[in-house]
Amino acid sequence: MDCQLRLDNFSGPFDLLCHLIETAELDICTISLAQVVDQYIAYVAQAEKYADLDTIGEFLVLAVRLLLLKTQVLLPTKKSAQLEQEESIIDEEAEQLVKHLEQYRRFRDLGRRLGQIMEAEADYQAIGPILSSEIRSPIIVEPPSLDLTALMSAWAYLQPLLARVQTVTVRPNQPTVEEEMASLTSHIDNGRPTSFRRYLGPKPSLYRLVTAFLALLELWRQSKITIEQDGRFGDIFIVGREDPG
Amino acid sequence: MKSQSLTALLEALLLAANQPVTVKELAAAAQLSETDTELALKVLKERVNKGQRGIVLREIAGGIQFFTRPEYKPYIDRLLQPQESPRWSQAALETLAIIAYRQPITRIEIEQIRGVQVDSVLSTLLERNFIKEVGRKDSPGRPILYGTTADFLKALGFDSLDELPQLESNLNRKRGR
Repeated sequence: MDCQLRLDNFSGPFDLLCHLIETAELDICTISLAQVVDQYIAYVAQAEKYADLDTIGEFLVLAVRLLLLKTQVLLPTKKSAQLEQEESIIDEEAEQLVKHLEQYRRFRDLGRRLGQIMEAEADYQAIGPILSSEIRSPIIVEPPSLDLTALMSAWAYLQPLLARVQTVTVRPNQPTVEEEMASLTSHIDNGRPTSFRRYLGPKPSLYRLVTAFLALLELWRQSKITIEQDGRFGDIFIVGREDPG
Repeated sequence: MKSQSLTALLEALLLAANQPVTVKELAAAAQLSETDTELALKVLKERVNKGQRGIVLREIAGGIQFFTRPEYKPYIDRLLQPQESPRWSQAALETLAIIAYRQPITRIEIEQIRGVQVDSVLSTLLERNFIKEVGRKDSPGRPILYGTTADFLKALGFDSLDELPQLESNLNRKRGR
């Protein structure tokens, strides 16, 4: 098959199917559909590499319908009641597909005809002070039923809601040194050493680390706590003091 | 006013407008009855269209409008050198045909016939003012119904939708059931 064909050359799966049937000079019917199924599948399979999922999806939906149809044409008929019932369902599906394709082709051809008519019509140039094609007025879409009372009642409904709106400034949660001091003080168990690391929690931000450390130093300076450290970079243990004042 | 100057008046009105003008609008502007206007128009039309003129008077989209004769279009293009208008894609033409013949119709109904999504094609047609929303379908979700516009008729040179080419019936393929 012709691998130069691309999906964008077709306006949709039915267009491709019509093209295949017409190229093979067949009529639209169940048998001819079954004949071009393989071509259709092969075509979509090779186009899959280039097309996006949305486009290919539409083509795949039809591929499934075609495969089902081909199965029906190839399978030998058996006389089991259940099979017959299944077959009649598939028959119906095939007939629907044929009808759908005929309907599609009618509109495709009418569309082409409209295109030709428009092209011929372009030879008539409108006469007037300005070429109408040069100026396009903005498209104003008016709601079908809009009058002053509707607008007024909508406004009356909105007004109290608008009055209720308040401006609120939301800041990132970054405590100050003072806040950190208060928090640290309340965290300390009197008499028992408290781990600074545990107070900070896992992975404190640099900002928090600095603020909390400054708070720690400030509390120590004010003689509210005593601090101990096992060595460089070791954990700091804090013990609260009785208020000296 | 003499009938001679009547036709001249109508000619002036039609030349000044660059869109189809209805008989009613012409009558109001010329301060004539619609019957008189129509009579004068008939005279004008015959005189223009049968004479050796570069222009024709045509009935289009429910109104009357002057156009240059189509055979002179190549010369006009040489003079004005207009931008070439892009051709419609097949997808757009198919969609347009479905809407024209099946209006009013919903997006889903169009998609069922074409087997593809039509959102972008619809917005192109809406933008070009070839189709418009004509209401809502009385079914779940109240989907938008689309129909064609006067601009659509103008682009085709039709006076009304009755001039659409007939649906070729494929009745010979009708299956009995």
